Amino acid sequence: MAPGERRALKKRIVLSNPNALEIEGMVDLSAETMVDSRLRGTVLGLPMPMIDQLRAVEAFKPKQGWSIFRRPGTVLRRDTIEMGRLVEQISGEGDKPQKGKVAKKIINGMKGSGKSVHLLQAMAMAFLKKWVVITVPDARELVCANTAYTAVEGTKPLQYIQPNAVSALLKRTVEANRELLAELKVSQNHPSLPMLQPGSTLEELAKLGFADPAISWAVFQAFWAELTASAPAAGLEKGFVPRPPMLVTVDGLAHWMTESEYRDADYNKIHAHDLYFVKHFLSLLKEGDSLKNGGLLLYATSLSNNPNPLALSIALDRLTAHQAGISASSPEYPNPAAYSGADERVLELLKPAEKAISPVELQTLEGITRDEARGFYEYFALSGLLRDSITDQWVGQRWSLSGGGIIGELEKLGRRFRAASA
Amino acid sequence: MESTSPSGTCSRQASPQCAAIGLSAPNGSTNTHVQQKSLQSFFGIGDFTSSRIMARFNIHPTCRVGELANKQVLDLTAMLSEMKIENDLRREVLNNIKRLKETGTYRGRRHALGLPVNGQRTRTQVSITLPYAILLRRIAPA
Repeated sequence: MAPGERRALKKRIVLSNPNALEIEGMVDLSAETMVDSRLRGTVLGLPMPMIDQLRAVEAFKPKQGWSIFRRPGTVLRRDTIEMGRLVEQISGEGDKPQKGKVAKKIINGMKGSGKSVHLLQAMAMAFLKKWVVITVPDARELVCANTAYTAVEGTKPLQYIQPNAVSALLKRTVEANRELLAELKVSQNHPSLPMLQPGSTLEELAKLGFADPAISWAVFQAFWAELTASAPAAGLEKGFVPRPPMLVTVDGLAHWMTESEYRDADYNKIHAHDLYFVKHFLSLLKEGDSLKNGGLLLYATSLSNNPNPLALSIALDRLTAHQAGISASSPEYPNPAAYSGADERVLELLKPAEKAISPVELQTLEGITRDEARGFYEYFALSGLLRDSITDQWVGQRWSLSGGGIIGELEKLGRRFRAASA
Repeated sequence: MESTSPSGTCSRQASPQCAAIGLSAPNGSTNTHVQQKSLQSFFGIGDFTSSRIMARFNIHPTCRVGELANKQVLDLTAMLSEMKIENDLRREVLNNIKRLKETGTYRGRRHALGLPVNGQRTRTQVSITLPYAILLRRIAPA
């Protein structure tokens, strides 16, 4: 095998199965269908022109079951419709427009409960609404010491930049949002980037960063300042277009809540929060209106490769308790056990705020309902993957077997019966 | 693997960086792991030392020789030139053995006889200890 071939195979994403039947009249995800509660439980196709964009932001994961169907589609479940309404709201449309609102969510849930696909649906909706989509498809890649790092002199504790990772992020972002970024002009002064031509677009700005990783962090900072700008700087008003809302997603949050695999000069492990890249995305959770033009922050945990830091589970329990109305002084409020050594930095970061402008919410994805499961299996049947007749009893059995509608398990059951009946 | 001279330069100079660090892959590729293949190819640098050298100059563990910045290469070269590695280290080991022999210690005699030094049994299975002892006593690598 040639070098890199095995990895390429492992990472390969197949989105189409020519043997599966094409479904006549399959509804696509669109600005109208994503909030239509009559369609709840149906599988909506992802619009074909958007597939390349979703691939660019690495929305699809290799182990998800896209390869058994004719074309990629996702179930419109309750959480999806709620998110659709939220996206609509932030875009300033729908019943209760709240333009400029920032929603911050940590997505939690059991293995296979659809956390990563929830992020994918968010990205699809954001592309539909012409938002800027910035993703970190695998948080682990930033902390597993597989990419270069350099210390920033004069910071205390010493902070680190990961030039190649930032470069890759800019590349992903430009590839996915090219049309949008090509329309936005640079509107702020960036003294750290003397090579930037006046009147350049944001696409050109970001390209500076992936041409030269050495300046990628400076470029990213400039890029971020541009995207969150609410007004142009003096003298640069010409051609200023109001910035669109942003979607920021991170998958595998737990990896950022512990020490990284990087080592400092004295061979001590570097805390993930001391990496500028990680710190930047985590700081968005903390500040008030961290996205000046509104948007959605979705940070999902993952159970496939989970360092399971104690502090994160306590922090998430605290958020749950806070949402249930338990005060911090109550004996029921979750606290780390004495001498457990829970990471204070993590607890501090995710501390439930009493009166924050847009506080972090914890959203736990549960199983889908029986009706939604039925719609999901009908999609299997229409694709020619299931030959049983789908009755309520049949669906009920699978629903129970899957631990109460955990969608990843439902999918496995659907596949298994395909093998049995073939 | 290419053998190295005391100063840490290699006879097969694939690129300036490889030359500075001391080693390149047999095909002259810069795709060689800095830690696993380049640093640890020196006598006297193993996993423990190499990982600390890497951390000291902020080089990540999977870094390739071709990815190193010029400054990192210079730092590494400077550090390696100060360390007691390769033939300097071998010479020290040999001197230690020589001292043991000259002072007539038991260990010295065992060295001189080419037998196990550290109290291993010699009734059976002596062959396992011998190659290791011989390896240490040579100045040039095989």
